[in-house]
Amino acid sequence: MPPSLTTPNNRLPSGPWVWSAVLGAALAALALSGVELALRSQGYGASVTDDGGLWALEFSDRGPDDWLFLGSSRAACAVDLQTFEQETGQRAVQLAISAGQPVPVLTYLNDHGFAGRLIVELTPQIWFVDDPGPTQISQSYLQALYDQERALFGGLERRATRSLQSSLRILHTEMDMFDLVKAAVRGEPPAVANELRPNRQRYCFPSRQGAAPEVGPPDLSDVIQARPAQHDERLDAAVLAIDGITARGGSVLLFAAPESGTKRNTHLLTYPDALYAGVLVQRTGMPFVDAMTDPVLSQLAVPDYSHIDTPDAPVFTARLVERFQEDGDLPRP
Amino acid sequence: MIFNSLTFVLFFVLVRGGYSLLPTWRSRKILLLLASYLFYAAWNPPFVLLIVLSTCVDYVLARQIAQSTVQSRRKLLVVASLAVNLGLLSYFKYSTFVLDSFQQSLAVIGVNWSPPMWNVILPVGISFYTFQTLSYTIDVYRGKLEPKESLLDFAVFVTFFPQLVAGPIVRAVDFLPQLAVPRVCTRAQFGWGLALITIGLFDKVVLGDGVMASVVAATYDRWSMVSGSEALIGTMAFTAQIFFDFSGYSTIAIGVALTFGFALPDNFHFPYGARGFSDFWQRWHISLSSWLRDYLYISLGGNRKGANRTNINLMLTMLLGGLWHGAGFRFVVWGALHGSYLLIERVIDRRMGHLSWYHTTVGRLLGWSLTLSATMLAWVFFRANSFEAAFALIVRMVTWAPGSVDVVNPLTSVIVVGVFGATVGWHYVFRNMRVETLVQAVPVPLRVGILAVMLFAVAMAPGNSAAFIYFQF
Repeated sequence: MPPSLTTPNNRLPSGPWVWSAVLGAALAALALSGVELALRSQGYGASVTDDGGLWALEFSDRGPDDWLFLGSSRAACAVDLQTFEQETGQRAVQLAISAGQPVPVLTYLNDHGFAGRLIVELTPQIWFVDDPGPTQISQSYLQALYDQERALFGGLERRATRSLQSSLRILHTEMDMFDLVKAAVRGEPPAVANELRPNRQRYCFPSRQGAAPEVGPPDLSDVIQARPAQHDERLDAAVLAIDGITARGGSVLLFAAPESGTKRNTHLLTYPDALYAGVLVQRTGMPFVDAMTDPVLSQLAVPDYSHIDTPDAPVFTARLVERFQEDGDLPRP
Repeated sequence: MIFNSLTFVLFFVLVRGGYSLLPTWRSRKILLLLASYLFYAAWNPPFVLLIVLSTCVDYVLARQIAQSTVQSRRKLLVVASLAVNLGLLSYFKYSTFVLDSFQQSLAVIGVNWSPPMWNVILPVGISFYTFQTLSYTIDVYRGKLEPKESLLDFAVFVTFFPQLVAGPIVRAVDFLPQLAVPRVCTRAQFGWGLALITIGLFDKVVLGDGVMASVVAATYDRWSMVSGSEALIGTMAFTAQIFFDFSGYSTIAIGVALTFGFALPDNFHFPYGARGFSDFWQRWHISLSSWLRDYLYISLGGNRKGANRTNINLMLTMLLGGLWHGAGFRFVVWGALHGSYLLIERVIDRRMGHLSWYHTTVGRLLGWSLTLSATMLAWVFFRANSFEAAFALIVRMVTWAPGSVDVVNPLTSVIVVGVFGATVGWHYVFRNMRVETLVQAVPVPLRVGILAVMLFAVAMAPGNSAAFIYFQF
């Protein structure tokens, strides 16, 4: 055997390595069980990691008749899937992507001959923003889908991970061990959610926060006139995808979630509906519910100006469904 | 399939269990071959055909080279092997890069030409197994190795799953003899193999991904906003991350192979303890640097054709070594920097090697710190998203520029600096020792405790563990 190799025989450190490894593993398992029990006793909950891998898994698991929710974290926080199913008698899948914009997903669906049912949340600040970030985030989720579909065990790995994360508190990825120790020493309540959080809700408020302080009225005198070409490109891409899907018999419904304060101002000042959302709705001819013009939805508290209180999600969903049902766009159970 | 996945745990248990149960050496090798194809197919099934093609081509050509007594025919056959292997590598790895570079060159002279969409997927590990099969054909051509009669043995050598996608790059002369006789995995080998797997996972999952990766991403992706100190901390983090990531993979690979009774070459030997760059390249990615030395540098003439030619050969080897890592000019610059470092070192050694202070503790410490600093500087080009980002980060570090936002919080900075400092200090202090020797000095109860802590930390690490960085090469 050449001397350059870590030869199996003459360079092994002496000692009972099998027992060391087995005993080490047993001790680690014991310690992990202890931490798991301690976390459970303190009320900590399990949580699945909300990432591209999980999104890809849920995308793959969708049924042909399911309604798919697309959009950003606003849709993730505002839509309660259980309420939707109660109100419509049909199943829905939450495929909104936090900080992502849905045009790449719409394009992907159209390119793959999708003819199903979509409910798409429309936030012009994310759809049309100059920053490529929201587009890249959605593309990275589609990449995760591609990686999963081409791999032999992609789905298996993610299913196993989701299953473990759904039951074990120690795998809660949002849990900061430093905070955890500090909270335990100070006798404080858990800093993270104490129940299994549904997918897509990383940025949502688990408990009621109430409305955020009002900010001054928007100054509409400074509305930008320039429309960078990429805004038109995204508009064209969205229209093309939606037209393709509906031409094959699919359904697409559009809605805008409640917003307030600075976020509302940004919307009105920088992305006026007359130039963006309104144009999309007009060009596609799809049903559109704008929460800010609805007497019920516009009254919901928006603690961070962008996401509604999660406890209000059933109210929002029921009202949104009702609005679409009024026009016959969604079925009644 | 990546080592830090639940799928791999299941795969390993099943394959290792099946390996023990099979009665004959031949059936065990067949299992290893099928398992290796499955391991690779888990990433993208069709690309298994590429490995099969590469295996068959080199198996046949090497036999023909050995059978032929006509030198011109032998040369033609080895060139054919090079053409097939490097052709595949070039197509999959460099075609997009070449087209883009050509397009940009035309744009410089005012010609706007858009090449057709060239959506080529880079097969994982192609750079590794290409070099591995090439070493076999070249060794047969050079008369250092007899061609293998058994296609099964040769196929296992090419595809052996622990090192298939990210090394260590195994030489045929080292591995094929291990397939000739049945391997018996002793309890000590199996146990030490498990310990190596644990250590490698700890390096990758806890230190590389858990501690360093987020800091690297935060600073390098927001290069225009970070302060000089944050740029430095980000560079320290990447210096540590790439070591923990890649040496972690190698350690797991060596450990997994050992549990089957196979020995793989060492790939890292306290690289950040290096004094000088010839020393660094004998410690960092050893299987690649020795491959480049034996099959490229020496083929170019090595140091046998005068000082100038030696310098050119060194620089060419490092440039191609840089390009091996990735199809991009940043990798070429990384290789050029290392080539320059080697050339400068030759001058310094020649002019100052005889001075007594050069060999004192102060001189050695100075040499070590300069080597480490220059290595970190080169890593900036390796990791940055663009040249603009790389230069901006270096300028920010040098001028200690203020940042526009706080990208790294103080506690994280302390942790990164602490782990980085401990790592490079550890490398320097133990630079002349072997891990096995160090480990042997640790009492058994403490070993058990360390392994337990490592496994605990791996299980508790955030679940955003990523693929190994070197997979992309």
